[in-house]
Amino acid sequence: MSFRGGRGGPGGRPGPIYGLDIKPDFTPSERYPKFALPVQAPLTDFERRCVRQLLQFQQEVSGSAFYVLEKKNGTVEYEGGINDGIKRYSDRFLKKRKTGKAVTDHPYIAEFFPQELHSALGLKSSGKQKPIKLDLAEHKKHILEAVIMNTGDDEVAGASTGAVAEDENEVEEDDMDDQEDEDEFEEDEEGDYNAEKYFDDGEDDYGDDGGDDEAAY
Amino acid sequence: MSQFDDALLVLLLRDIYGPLVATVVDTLLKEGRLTLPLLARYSSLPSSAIQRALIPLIQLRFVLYWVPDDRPDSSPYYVAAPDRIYAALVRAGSFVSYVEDRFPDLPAAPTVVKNLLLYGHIRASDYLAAAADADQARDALTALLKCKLLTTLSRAEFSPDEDRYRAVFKQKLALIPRKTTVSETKREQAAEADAQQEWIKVMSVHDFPNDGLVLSDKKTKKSSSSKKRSRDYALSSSSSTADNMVVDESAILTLNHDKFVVLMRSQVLAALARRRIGSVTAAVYEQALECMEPKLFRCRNSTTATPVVTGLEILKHLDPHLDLGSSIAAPRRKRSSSKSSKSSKRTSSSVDSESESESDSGSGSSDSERSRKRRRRSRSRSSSHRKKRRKTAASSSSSSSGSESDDGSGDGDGSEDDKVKSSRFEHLGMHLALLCHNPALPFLKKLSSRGGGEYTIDFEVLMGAIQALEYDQLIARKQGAVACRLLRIIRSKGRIDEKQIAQIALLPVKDIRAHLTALHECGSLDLQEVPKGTDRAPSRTYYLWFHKPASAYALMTQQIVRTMTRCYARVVEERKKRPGIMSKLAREDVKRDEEGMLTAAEKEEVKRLRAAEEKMLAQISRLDRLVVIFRDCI
Repeated sequence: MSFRGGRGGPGGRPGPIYGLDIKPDFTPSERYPKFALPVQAPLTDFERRCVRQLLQFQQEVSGSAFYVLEKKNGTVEYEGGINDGIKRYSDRFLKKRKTGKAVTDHPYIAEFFPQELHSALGLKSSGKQKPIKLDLAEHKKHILEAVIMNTGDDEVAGASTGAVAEDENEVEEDDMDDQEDEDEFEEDEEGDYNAEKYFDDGEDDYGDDGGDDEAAY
Repeated sequence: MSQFDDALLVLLLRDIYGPLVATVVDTLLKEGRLTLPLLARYSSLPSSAIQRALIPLIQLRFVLYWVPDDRPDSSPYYVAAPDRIYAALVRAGSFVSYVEDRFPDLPAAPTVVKNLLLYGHIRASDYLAAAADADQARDALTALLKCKLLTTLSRAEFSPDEDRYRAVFKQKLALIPRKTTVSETKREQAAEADAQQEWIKVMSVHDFPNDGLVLSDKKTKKSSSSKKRSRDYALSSSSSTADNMVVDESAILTLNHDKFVVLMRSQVLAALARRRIGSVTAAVYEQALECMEPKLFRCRNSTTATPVVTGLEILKHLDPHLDLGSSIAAPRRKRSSSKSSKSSKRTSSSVDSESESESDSGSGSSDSERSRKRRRRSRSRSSSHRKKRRKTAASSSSSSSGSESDDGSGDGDGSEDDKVKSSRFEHLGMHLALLCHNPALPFLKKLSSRGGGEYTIDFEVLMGAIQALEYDQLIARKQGAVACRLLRIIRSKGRIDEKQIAQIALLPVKDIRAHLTALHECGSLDLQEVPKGTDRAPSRTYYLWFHKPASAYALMTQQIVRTMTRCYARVVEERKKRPGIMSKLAREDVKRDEEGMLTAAEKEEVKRLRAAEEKMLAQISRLDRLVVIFRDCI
């Protein structure tokens, strides 16, 4: 009984009747119709600082223990480099990321984590853990002044964390890797292809010129 | 949360924390609560990789977990916490900058915030051990704890709220004994009521003033006391010992994003007051908000009543160099203070036409009085005032022209005898009255006159009005001014037929139909069919348009979040377009000396890249302000 008369169809006219008032336009629209592009209002200082802080925060996370990657056995990935297997000179300056180990390098509070993750935290079952020191990031004051083209002594915009401990570790790592790389790039001084061996730059001839009083014909 | 929110979060996580973490969160957001084996199945990642990804996620509380009570040894369920991810990633930059501005004499404060954003939570002793200057760090931690931007953390907060609430409910239900006389439904209702009360206590566990603080007096051996002990001590101690509190080294500290949203809301309110009324009044308003701040803990689900602040309190904390009298007209001694302050308010407030028509209804009687009054007007606001007042409705134009002519004649006379040397307190009262007086935007609400006037803020009404304002501005940009007008008509009338809309708006029906349909499509308006007869033939049905604010704002928020996703995706794309430059910038030697290591062309390219990033990320933070208004404040 309640359905008597119908409901106008389930998909039928949900809105007001349009009738002859509106003539819809069926011509295809332009591919790029004219549109008044809104222009962004100029940024305030506060907004600029927020942006720089966010970029710095991003840099710091990428260098922290919390940037986890899927483990690849054996390969050392070069952060930011073109990882196609070819060794390049610039690889010595790239941040090397040791896959799989970094996440344990932080003093976690074990009671906050579920039991099944304790092994992944690097906690031994005996419960004792080597105390790991926190690696604190430094806040850069006057971050707006450290714009991309400025080179302060320590400050580089949107770049390194600047924490002393981390720098030392990195420098140590770099030194060790530099040594390894130097070995690769070291010149072969004893082989046949050492051009230096055959080059005589005239240093040994110093003092020979003085003894000749004859005229040069 | 909608699919657009999830897309934004996953995009941010992928760019900042890496693809592994992003995939895990994506799976959790799509599939819901999962255990570790299910996560491995749905995400097709190895279990060890998922474990390594879950560790930072739990550390940062981006993912919460729940172990069922009846099976404590089973694998926990992991749940993503999208609110926290959003707050931590989108507002990271503004949090640090805000703290930098708020605590200019505490250089270690922004460092604390930065590290907490990075590490989620840190034990205070670990932080002080690792900090370069332990004393500065201690001061910074104490100051941030006092203003509640930092709170302590307990194990319970790593579990989702829904599960904790269910546990409380079950506990309360178990306490109510089963009786044959009492039905199960009644029992559950009683348990629900008890659980709600208990839940309020649970939610406000960090709201007491000395959370994470202990007395710095070395004689007391309570330095490693629990929160409960310090709370009891706080109840018994007087407020004068608040300065002796220092951070408790055994406490585990984390950022309080709820409090930051409260502070953002205060900034939005102050900015609006500055635009609507004036800079001095806005400064007074900011001070009032600051006085209320210690008792405002969160925007949504507020567990406490809105605090009340007195005029004397505001005056005490107000900046002494702020000149209150320069921007407000002094009342005449002869007239009663209420009338004169009202009339000075009327002329010195710059309100929109709706409220002006309401407020000016009472001003007719004082017109004649004002035409004889001499008044000195603030130089900075007079010209803009006159321009604004010229645009207002006819009823107010007489009053404004009266006061303008008055101004012309009044300035010349300048009799100092009649001008009341109003005290600073009276000026403050006038500014506060200005803030109370606008019915469309009630910045303050006056409760009584004790203690120099008791004021509070009705956040629901005020934020509702601000949401409507912002929404109208957005609709005006997207759909046009006519559509915005129609929306405001419909909002004020409730449910209304298009013929009546046409009558009110003074536009032909066929013109407004297109606008109404467009508004319907973008979610601002809804249609109610009221059939005239038993059948629902379209010709014999009333179609009533109405506006549902909650759903309209929710849809608009989704669009805003979509825009934010696109902005960030653009940043990622700009970086992808320049792989050479990005790899060069990632090099350690280039980081140390960019000036020397990059060629001129590369520097230009980097400049362009940085400019694009800046524009997009700044736009994201501007859009975040809108999200705060529509979603996070009530």
